[in-house]
Amino acid sequence: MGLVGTILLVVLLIVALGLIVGYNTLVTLRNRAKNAWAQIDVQLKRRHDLIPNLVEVAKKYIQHERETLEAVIKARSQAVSVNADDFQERVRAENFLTQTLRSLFAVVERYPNLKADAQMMKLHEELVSTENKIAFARQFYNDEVTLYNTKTELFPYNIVAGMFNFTKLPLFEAGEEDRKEVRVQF
Amino acid sequence: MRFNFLEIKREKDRNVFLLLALLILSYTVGLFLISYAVLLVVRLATGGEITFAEASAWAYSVVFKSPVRFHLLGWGIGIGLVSWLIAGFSLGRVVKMFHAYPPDPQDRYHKQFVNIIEEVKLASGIHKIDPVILPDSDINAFTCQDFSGRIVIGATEGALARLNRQELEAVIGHEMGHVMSGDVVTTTMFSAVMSVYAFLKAVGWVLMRGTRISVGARRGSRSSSSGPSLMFVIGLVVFLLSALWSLINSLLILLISRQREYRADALAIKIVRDPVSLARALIKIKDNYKSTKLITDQSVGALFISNPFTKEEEKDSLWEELFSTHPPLSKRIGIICNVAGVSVEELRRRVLEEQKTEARRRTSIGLLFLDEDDKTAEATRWLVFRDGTWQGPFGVSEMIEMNLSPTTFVRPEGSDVYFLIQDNAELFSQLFRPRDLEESRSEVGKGADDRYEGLCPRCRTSLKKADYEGVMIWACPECFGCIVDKSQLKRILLRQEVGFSDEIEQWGDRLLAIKDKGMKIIKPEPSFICPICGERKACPSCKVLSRMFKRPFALDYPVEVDVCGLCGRIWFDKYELEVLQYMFEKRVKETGKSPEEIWNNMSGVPVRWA
Ligand SMILES: [Zn+2]
Ligand SMILES: [Zn+2]
Ligand SMILES: [Zn+2]
Repeated sequence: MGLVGTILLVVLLIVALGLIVGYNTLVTLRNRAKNAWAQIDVQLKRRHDLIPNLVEVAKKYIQHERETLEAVIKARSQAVSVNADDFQERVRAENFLTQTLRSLFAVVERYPNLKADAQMMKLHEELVSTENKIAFARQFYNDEVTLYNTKTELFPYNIVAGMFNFTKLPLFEAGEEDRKEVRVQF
Repeated sequence: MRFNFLEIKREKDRNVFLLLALLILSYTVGLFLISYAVLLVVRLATGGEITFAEASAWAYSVVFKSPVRFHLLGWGIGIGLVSWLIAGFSLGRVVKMFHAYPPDPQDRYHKQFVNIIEEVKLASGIHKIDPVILPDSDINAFTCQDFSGRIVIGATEGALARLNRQELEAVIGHEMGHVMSGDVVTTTMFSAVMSVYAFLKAVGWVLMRGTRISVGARRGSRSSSSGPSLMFVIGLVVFLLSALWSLINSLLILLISRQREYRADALAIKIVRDPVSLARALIKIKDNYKSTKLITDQSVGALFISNPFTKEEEKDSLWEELFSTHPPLSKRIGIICNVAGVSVEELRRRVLEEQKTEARRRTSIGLLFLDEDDKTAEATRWLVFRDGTWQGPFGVSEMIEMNLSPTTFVRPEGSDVYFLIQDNAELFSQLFRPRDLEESRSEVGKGADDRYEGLCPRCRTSLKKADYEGVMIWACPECFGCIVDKSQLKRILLRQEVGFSDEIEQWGDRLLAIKDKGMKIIKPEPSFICPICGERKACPSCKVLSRMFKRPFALDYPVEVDVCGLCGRIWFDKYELEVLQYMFEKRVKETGKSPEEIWNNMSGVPVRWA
């Protein structure tokens, strides 16, 4: 084996090693993003499960403004029935549900008896917590996805990504009201 | 100029790093200096006709030039590391020292705290955190971490009772900031540095004392040469130098500690994104500050969000600041308000106004009866991958009994996104609780028994679960009597959700006006069998023990209640609990003392039995 042969072998080895490392890095990052998505999914699911109970309790007290209740029910059934593979559609439905829930909480504030209902206090706390968890988990998911997406564009990862079909993952964009960087309220 | 929290964090990161480097430098330089001084003294004393310059040059060459310097460096670092390991917190010890207990899942305020911890876990990506609660009525929170990486975040009952949800979240964010920047680990490093110098100081002291005594003993037998012995001088030098150096080190440590507080505030804003609530929480802490004596170990002060050892009023002088672990609250509040773009005065005015109008009070009666089935607890049901198939769905309590491993795959019912239990912090902490925390539950916070079914002693109807100030107690839906234990009562009295009607205020004022404060001899008046522990005991002799006695709650609080002779639980008839709560709050307001002190006095004045 001549000098050329040795050099060729070394180059080949380096390329193979690079491919393996690049592949593993991308797989790890993609799994992390998927895990982050699982965190959101759990919370979205929990929200779907809590809402029927919330509506049931709220019904007993809310006489007027029943349209907010109906909007929540409608938004929930939309979010539940949306095709799970259509990411953008799902995000849109969930963001809409967030919005209707927020207006329902605003209505609850005007019914002191409902606010002081023991069951309502528990449900309210659980839903507020779930909303916060969705927001934080979304932040976390978006960070992970951004990390993964940028990696797939960088050399030499873009070659590996092209060869093994690592497609970009979509971001979970927040609804209009959540865009503000730092929440400032009194 | 307006700050941005990222700028603050970057600046503080740099400061902390530089100061830590300086501390390590100062630690080693101190050791070299002490060895140098000892050698110098020895050389001067034994070298005969030697000049100071020559002795100094010799000591210098030995310490800094010969292989001795490597020995010194090695031993210095080794001893430092060993005492670092020793100084490491054992969570069990800390938890015991603070009398901390795990949250009561039936308690609405505790549940909120647990939820907030779960949220902050998601926001920070750090999963190994266990929430604990301190019985203290002050507003405070702390964090602690051991070398295994387990982290505990604690909040006081006072913080849970008096901060609103966003404020509490911001405070927990601050603690999380400490965890994220590894501050707990450096705190143990500080105590290691300090303990090495404390040891040297003690050695110097012993040398001084030991030689003085032996000199005194010898004096009788033969005339001693005048002047102090060599040992005494060496002891003196070691003592003085290590005392000086521990002062320098402790000033450095306090400086780092204060920088870390600013950084943790900045990180709290980064995590929770709500600077106003953080500022509001600190304003509440500053305004309600009353020193409580529950926490006695000074070395843990730096772990809290505000120093639990500050004297009554915080003084904003430079001197005070130099010697404290935390920067003055007013300074921190100023910086945070600057980030948020709000004025401190305006914010304080709003907080005070809110406290005065008691915005959180509601007017309905205290007891809120709960539905039989709690719909929130197990809202989500899970499918579990076992023996090659998806099984279930199960609730969390069923899953606890299944003894699953953390590497089991699960997915929520109705979803096809699956993951390992250990990858979901919330589910993981619901299924696997640390044992040492579970054990401390047995002492406090036992709360009402979930499966208990007893009868009202007055009207013999079944008692039902009810929510009073977020605490789950057993109450009668007919006569509105209820039974409460001591740890529940403290939580109830600290919280301020229930409003009082005019009748209750008049009733309470009338009882408060009773001036008879002397020791009162009371004949026990047996009333009825304790509905909690009495009904459960089958044997008749135990039933005699668990008889309840009618008595005033305490001398200063002559509300007529019935107390169980065996388990100490207290039966309150309708409105009696509200009256007691009203009296307690009024005492706190009138005396200006801390609720902790009022509580201790209240339970410390028993009525003597005849
Ligand atoms: Zn702090
Ligand atoms: Zn009754
Ligand atoms: Zn009893």
